[in-house]
Amino acid sequence: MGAPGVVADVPFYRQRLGADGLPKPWTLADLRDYAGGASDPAAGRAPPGSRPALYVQLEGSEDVPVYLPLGPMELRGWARALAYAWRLWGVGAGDVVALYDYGSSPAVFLASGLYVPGLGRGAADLLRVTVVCNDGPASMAARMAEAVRCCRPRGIVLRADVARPLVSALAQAGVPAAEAGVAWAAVTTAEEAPSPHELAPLREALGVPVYRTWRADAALFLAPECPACSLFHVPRALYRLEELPEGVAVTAAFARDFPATRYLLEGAELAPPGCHADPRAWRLRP
Amino acid sequence: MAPPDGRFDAMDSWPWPRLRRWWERRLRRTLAVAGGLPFYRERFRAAGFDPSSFRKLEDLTAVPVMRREDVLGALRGGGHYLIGMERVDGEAVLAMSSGTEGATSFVALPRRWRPMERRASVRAHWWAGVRPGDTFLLSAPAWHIYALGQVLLIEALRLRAVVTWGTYLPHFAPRILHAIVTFRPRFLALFLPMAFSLLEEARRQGMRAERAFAGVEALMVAGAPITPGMRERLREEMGIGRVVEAAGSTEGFLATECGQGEGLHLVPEKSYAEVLDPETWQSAAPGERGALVITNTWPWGSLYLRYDTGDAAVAFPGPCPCGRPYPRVKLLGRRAYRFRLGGRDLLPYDVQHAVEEAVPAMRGATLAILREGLDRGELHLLAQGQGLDTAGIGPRLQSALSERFDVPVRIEWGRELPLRWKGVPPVLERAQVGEVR
Repeated sequence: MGAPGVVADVPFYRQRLGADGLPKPWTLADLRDYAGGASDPAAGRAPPGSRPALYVQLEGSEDVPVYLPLGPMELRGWARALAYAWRLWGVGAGDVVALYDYGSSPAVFLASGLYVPGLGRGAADLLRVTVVCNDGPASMAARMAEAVRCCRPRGIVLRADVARPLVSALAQAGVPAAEAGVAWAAVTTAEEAPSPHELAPLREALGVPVYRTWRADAALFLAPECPACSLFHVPRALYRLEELPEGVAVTAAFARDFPATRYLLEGAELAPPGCHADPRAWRLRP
Repeated sequence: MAPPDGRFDAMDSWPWPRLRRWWERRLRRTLAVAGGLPFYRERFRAAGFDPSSFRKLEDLTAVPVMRREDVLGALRGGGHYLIGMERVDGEAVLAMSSGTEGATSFVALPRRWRPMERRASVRAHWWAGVRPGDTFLLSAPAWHIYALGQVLLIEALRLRAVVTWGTYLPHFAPRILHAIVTFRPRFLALFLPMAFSLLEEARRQGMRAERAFAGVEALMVAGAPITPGMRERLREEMGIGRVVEAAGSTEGFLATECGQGEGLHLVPEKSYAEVLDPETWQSAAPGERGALVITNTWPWGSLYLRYDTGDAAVAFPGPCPCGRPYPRVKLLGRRAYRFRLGGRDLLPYDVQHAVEEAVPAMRGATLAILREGLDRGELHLLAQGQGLDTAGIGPRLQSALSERFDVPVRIEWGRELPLRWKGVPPVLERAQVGEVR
């Protein structure tokens, strides 16, 4: 499971090691508890002596923010997960993807090597895609409508709580998304996947398919809803999933320097692989 | 440790004639590239300008000044972000520019734009005091030009980076303050209004600002013009030795103060800049207010040539005592917010400055000017009064402003002012007040 030697050195995991030498599966609440009692900004997630080049504050409204230590390896692997999502949704070279979320969201900062230091090549660089990013507040919806009108993005990635303002802004600007060339929208939320019925009004208003992402930022996990099977695809090259009595746990295989090991995806069920869009991918049902 | 205003490289010590020749070479190349782009081919033809005729900086006067309306017109006409002023070779990052009016344009930043931006960003931040090994807070990544340049800076100098969740809005101040206290950066770059939101947040948490900002030696602020009062307040309350102003635009302007604090030096890699009379487009005299007009000096991406940024600016006369050859300017705000009062042309900056001189407790206070008041020939100020003795301050301020501007003055306290994407607009109409986010 990942690199057990490294994991055993990492304070957060060390105190969770079981008799089998593996850390007990954990949730975001466990990490927050640990961070609350630790003086370490990395919340025990960095091996002793390591020097994370980047810390990212996890999204959330809690009083005490939690930081995620990251190195180039983690960033690059995580960006490949985002590129996998875009590719699954039909994005290819020469397309434009429009982003409407805070730049601190991995759904944004993993998109371009210009968005976060140490990444090098983001999803847009990997797929040779042009990317346009709007700031995340609802008050920026009119600007996003202009981006849709003028940039004709193949896809729009947006935070769940700006979906309604964007729909209003598009209507006010007289920009029907489908006619502007938008083929899909994807809604992204930290630490969970939005429910499909929440997205029905957005789908209707935009007139294009609306996909979901399943994000668990603390575990560097990002999985897209598949347009073909409507389950969440998890690429085997990037993540390992385990069915445990507590539920499905994910390990980011690429996280070698700052491990993200055995995070419990709450409410997840593993479905058999075999979707024609990617026959090898793990599939998750929320 | 290098001095905080240390020079970045040998170029910072060049004599002016050498810098001038360097700019002329770069401009010649950029103009030649632009001459082959549809947007400029037509403009140059209409103005009778032949890019191959460019030799000296003075020859720029033959290039027609381009206004934001020209860009927006081309955007409306073509209906696509590529309007024929871009040199790109494959995929790009698009940055949005909204000006003051809110109409959006798009600036294409291809891969070959990055080496120039990296050097410019490192130079600007070096002047401001950043050094290898520092920790750098990215408090609103990805969506604006500063953040893109800062990513390149962090990589070039191998800085430790901290990304805070959210953006520049005041309700994210607690998270930025937490990062400052946790990581204790020596250098801090902030959107100017956020610096005051952080002071307010420290006060709300019962933390002395000096303690909150302990260890910060230099603060770089951008996004709005700083007044002397604001600078004093930030220095005093945060206990920071050096507050450095920077200014920039998505279209390619970048300028930063040196240690003298007497104007912002142009960062040479990005643009050459002129301060022009907006009526005649002739050079404004040093010290006189005019329009900031920029010409990009790097021939990749969207090219802005003699572009009126919409900012009011003054150029500083003569060489800077620091020895850098780059001309100096000070931006004073958007010209769209100019107004006439008491027989004078003014900017919100003038009112802010006057308020702070009259009542030092209001240094950095959030203010707006009511448009309807200006229409009546009066100065009607809307001011957020949290934490201020408004009953005591009000009459004193009213009298001082009335004397200063020679008009009736009214002050309305305590209203929460509407936030836009760049903070509270400095001139508001009554109908906009109360549109609180």
